[in-house]
Amino acid sequence: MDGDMRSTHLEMLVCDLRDGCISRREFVQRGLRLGLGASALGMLLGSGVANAAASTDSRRAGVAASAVTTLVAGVASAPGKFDPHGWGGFTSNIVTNHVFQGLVRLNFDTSEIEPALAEKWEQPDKKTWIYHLRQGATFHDGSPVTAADVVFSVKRAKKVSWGTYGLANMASVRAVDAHTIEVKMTHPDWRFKWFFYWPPGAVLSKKYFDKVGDSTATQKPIGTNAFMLSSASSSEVVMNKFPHYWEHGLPYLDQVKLQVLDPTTIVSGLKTGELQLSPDVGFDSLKLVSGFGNLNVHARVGPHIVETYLNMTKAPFNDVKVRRAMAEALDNAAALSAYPTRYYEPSKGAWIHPSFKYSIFKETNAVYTSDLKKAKQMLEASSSPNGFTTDWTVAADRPQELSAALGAQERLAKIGIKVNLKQLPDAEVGAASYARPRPWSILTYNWLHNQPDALDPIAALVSSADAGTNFPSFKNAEYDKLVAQASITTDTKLLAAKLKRLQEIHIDQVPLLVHGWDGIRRVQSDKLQTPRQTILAEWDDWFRTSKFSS
Amino acid sequence: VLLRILSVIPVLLVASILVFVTMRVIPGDPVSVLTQGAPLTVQQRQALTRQYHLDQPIPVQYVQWLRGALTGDFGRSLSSNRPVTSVIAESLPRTLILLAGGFVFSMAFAIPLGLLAALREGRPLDHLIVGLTMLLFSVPLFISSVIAIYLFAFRWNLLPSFGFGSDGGVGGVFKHLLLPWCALGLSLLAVQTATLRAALVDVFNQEYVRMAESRGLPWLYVLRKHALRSALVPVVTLLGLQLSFMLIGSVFVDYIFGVGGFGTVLVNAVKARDLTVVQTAVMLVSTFFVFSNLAVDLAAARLDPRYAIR
Repeated sequence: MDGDMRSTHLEMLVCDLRDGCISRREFVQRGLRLGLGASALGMLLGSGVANAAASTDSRRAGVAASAVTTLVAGVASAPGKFDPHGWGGFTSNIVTNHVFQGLVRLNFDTSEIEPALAEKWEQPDKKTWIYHLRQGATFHDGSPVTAADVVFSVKRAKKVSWGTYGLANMASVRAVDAHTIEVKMTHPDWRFKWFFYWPPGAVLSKKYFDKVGDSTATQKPIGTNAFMLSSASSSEVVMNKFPHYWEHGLPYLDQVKLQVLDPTTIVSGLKTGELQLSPDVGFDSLKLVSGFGNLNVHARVGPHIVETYLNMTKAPFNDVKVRRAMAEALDNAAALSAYPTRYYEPSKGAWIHPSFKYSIFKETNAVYTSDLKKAKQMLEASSSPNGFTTDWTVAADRPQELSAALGAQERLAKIGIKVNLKQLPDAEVGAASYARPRPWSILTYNWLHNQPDALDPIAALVSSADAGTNFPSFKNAEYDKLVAQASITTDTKLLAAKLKRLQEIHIDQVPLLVHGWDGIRRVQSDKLQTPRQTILAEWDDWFRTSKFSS
Repeated sequence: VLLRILSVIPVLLVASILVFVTMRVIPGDPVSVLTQGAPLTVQQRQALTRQYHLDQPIPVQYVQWLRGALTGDFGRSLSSNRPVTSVIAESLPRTLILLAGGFVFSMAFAIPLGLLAALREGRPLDHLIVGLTMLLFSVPLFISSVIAIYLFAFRWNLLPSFGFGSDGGVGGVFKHLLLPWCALGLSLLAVQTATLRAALVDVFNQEYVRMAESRGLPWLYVLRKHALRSALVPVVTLLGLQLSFMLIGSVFVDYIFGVGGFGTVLVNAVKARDLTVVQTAVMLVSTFFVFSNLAVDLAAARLDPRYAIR
């Protein structure tokens, strides 16, 4: 064991004693194993005990001190599994964002990638990425993060679920030494730099997974981030501060409690101050809570695209004229008029919200004009001049998507397209979108950006190179070529030009109908300081730097 | 008594078949719940289907489930992957406290109100008590719970709007459960008051009660020894059914007040389509129904031996 490692372990040992996590006897035993002499241990024991006494006194000082550093947040759904490589629901996602970390993360102010578990990285050639691990970062059980953990995590991510999309171009991953990882790609793709930012890029402890197995490891997860999962039930999740977190001084909060509540109770809890934050206040209550005075509403519209995929493997959706007629008939502004535009923005055809780099929102957002007469004429010129009947799959428990589908159903009926809505649970609609062959004709779902530019949905959803996520089965040689070129180029002008053309093809070919952009929203106490909400806030670990103002 | 206890077994078996089959035929794809809609290859989907025996015919699945259930193994939660027994067991103490508090609240008011109404039969106080309790009874539990939160937490900030309050010790629990207890107790209060009132009016007109009074026995002695004992028989008989309804009511109250008991588990499992948890929870409610009725039968027989003969 080298000197740095030993001092880190020693520091943790003293902290454990101070926090009352271990007994004096255990302290001495573990200290001797680290090779410390009896006299040194005696001195440390003295200081540790003194600190422990001080800590106990501060705990006795009263409830007020602990109330200041415990954040209680209201959430609307119970937690599922805590597996960052697979979606476990919104509440689990909040937990995994704060328990786990990737090699890189998003800077809250610049929305650019910055080092996290990797201290630095380099690209010796366009197909190779080399990451150098940060020294001193440990998992919650005290074991150091090694290259073997990263290799294990990447391989697991590729096998489990999301990674199959994010790692599609990965050829190999290997540990060069204990602190260096090399990733080789099949072909150059600058999008890979974002992989270690979003949940499938989280680093898991190989040792822990080997010891307890997948099932336990995803129920009682240990990661490297600022919070440790303390307990989880159907009604409450408790995360405690990780005292040995590598960013000294963080987190400011000692504890975060996620309370699973009915939406009405969440509103009441925010008003009374029992809750200091909620990401799950319904659209219908946002106006009410913004008038409470003790609360702030933070919202970013854009990252969630509410969209409808048209199954182009079969008629009539394989006819572009039919798709164009449908796009012309929609009136998203009317269908989603119940939602305040501050938290939901309807689209008039544009696909990428202007918050994202390389969006050509202005040029694309008024191509289709919601003119029913024109839509009817367009349909008459198609392969289905008299209209048709179709099924339309939508999540019954996602209000925006359901409103969009209901609005479309009403408008399309006026041009002769009869829609039978098939309302399913959210998880089933998600599963159906990935199922092959596609068990649906039309399906409304959503896509959440994984990087702060336009390329992610453009490449994932309609490029036939990525068959797993090309939901409509759109085949267009020019489109695929442009995606391949855009993912290689680092020339921003060239990239902008490629992405512009891709959005133009989308508008012209209508492989999917875009209804609008849902907002990521957060209602919180005006005494709570949280970092700036990034455009990708759904993946951010914002409790890490959150604190209460004095 | 033994025969009555044994008769519970076929009832529970039929209930378990009904619950199992219902859970299998309602729309919903358990594999999608397992993976929360995440992309799966055909092989991954098939492996999960096999792992959870979803590829077996329903009768085979039922026998496997029953075999596990008899040994206390109800499988694992589809959404959290935790053993269903742990998920439900950890919620039960809170539910029992919620039910006990609601019951004590309702009886603490029902007995004096029923007695008062019976003693003032046909007079304004009688009408007031009956009218008021019926009004409270007619308000659905989820509405009265939301109104209670609105008034006592949201509007006046007198009591907490959610939680169990275990961090604050016994006082904390009492403070946090006061509103849920009231909401739950009120749903039971009206029926218990009306039943007790009717039974007492009937008993007060019985000859043996008049005789006891005419013999100069103290009124309180007559009430306690003769009147209440007989009048409580229908109250206790009804109690079995009422307790079962109270358990159902506690699901709403538990969820709305965020108590974190059985109700929260059940509602969240239904929302997440967590088949294994919902199935076990519904089976638990059915078992509670059956055993509470058995307990009431046995208690009624003890209060009035004529029930035992029947």
